[in-house]
Amino acid sequence: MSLDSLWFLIKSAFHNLFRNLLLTAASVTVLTICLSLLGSSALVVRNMNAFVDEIGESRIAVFLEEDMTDLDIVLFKDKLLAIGNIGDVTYETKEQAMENYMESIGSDTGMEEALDPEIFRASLIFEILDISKYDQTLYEIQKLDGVGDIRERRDVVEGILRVKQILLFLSIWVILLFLVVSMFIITNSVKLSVYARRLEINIMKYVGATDFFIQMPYFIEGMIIGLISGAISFFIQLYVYNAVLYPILSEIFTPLSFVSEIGFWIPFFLICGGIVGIVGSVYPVKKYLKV
Amino acid sequence: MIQFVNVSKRYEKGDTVALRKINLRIEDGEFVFIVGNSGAGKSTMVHLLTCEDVPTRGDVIVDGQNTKQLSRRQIPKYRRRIGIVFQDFRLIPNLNVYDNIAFSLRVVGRRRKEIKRRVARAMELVGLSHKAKAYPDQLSGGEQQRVAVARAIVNNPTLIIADEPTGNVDPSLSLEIMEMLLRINRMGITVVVVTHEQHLVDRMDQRVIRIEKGRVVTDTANEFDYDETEAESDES
Repeated sequence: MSLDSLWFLIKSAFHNLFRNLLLTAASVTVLTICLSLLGSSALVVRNMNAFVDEIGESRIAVFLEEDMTDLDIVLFKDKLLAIGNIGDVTYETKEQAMENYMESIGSDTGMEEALDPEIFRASLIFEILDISKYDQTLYEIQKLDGVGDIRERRDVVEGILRVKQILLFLSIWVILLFLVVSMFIITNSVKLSVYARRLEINIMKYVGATDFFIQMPYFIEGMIIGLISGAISFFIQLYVYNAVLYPILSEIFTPLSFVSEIGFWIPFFLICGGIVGIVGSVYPVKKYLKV
Repeated sequence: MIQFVNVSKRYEKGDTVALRKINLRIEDGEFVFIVGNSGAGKSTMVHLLTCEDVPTRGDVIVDGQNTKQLSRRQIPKYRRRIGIVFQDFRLIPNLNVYDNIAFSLRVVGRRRKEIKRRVARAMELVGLSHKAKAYPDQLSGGEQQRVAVARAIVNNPTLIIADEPTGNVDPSLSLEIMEMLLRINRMGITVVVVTHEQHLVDRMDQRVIRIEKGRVVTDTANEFDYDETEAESDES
């Protein structure tokens, strides 16, 4: 396709958009709402993961048997890492365990003198990376030789997993609902464009324009609606997240920074918008052009 | 060359037979009138030539190509060899004369330079160079039809089909349109004019094919009247 043809197609698409300005605005509005909700859902899920990481409840401490030598511990660590789904492993000696304990209860209690480090146990502390495989990973660890005891918070992990599942489930349904509504609006917008340009389409067919050439402006129209909606959604999300949500979430944990993840969010909104726009315009173009 | 070989067309809707065993041959560079009353089958012949429809029986062959065998993807390329002039002009109201003519080149992907050159030549041929920037509603019916003719010839077609080209034109300008089509024909382009205006046909002294009830009843090229009774017996 020559550059002149491409320019002609793009011009035709913009012409369509401005001819049905009101419907274009309606399509952009609904799609923007949909994409904003889509972005919010993705942000909630990502923040939830960050929250889980921060509170560290997926952290596990494996207490080792008393008679293990330094070499045994190194070998044990290798076996542990071989299981997979395990983050950095930290070895905590009995002395460090006692220090940590003292720190947690406060240094002015006078208990330091009374405590003997020997009552503490050395442990390996690490995180489960993917908590959806928490049980499976734990089962593998338990099978290893040298495991004295394991400290873990299954109840909390299970609670978080359940909340995440519910959020994911709700997000999917909200997204699907708005996707259907958006596609319906885009379909109508393109349908009206096709109707308004029926004379041109008729002439195009008679003078030998290909199906592709006739359909292309409508796909571009859908894509432009999608991209504009994606761009607006991005800025709405940026503002709402930074001005409203971030300060609230900061009270509880360190939320994700929207700006630092801009490389993810810009393509996210534009690609989602573009795809919804094109898919929404395929049906009316195929059905009503009958090229 | 155009050939209709035993062409019949039946529309399922209403169970109408539009054409019955049509056989005719139009040579390259010919000027032919297809005449007949409303409902005689003239438009069906045009639809078969433009590949909007296919015959129920028989073959329509244009430049050696059987239109029935054209795939969906081949049809646009086939249509680029045909220029069509409609009774209602079908000009795009928000485009000026230049852009209306250029439209048919733009949608088939021609380059800007080529478009400029060809449109200028087409406007010159129909005598509308001075109205390049005028919009359809600023033109008379005759001028609008001249724009439509320019649009039909701008893509260098080998065949022009004019479907009732003078139907919406002031009677005093009808002859002018016909003469313009004749001039185009003299450039070597085959011209098929579908009309029911007998007085125009009589003045032009060209080949005339008369259709009645889906049959060719006379063809001046063959110098004899078709035997209707024989045609009916063929049909059965």
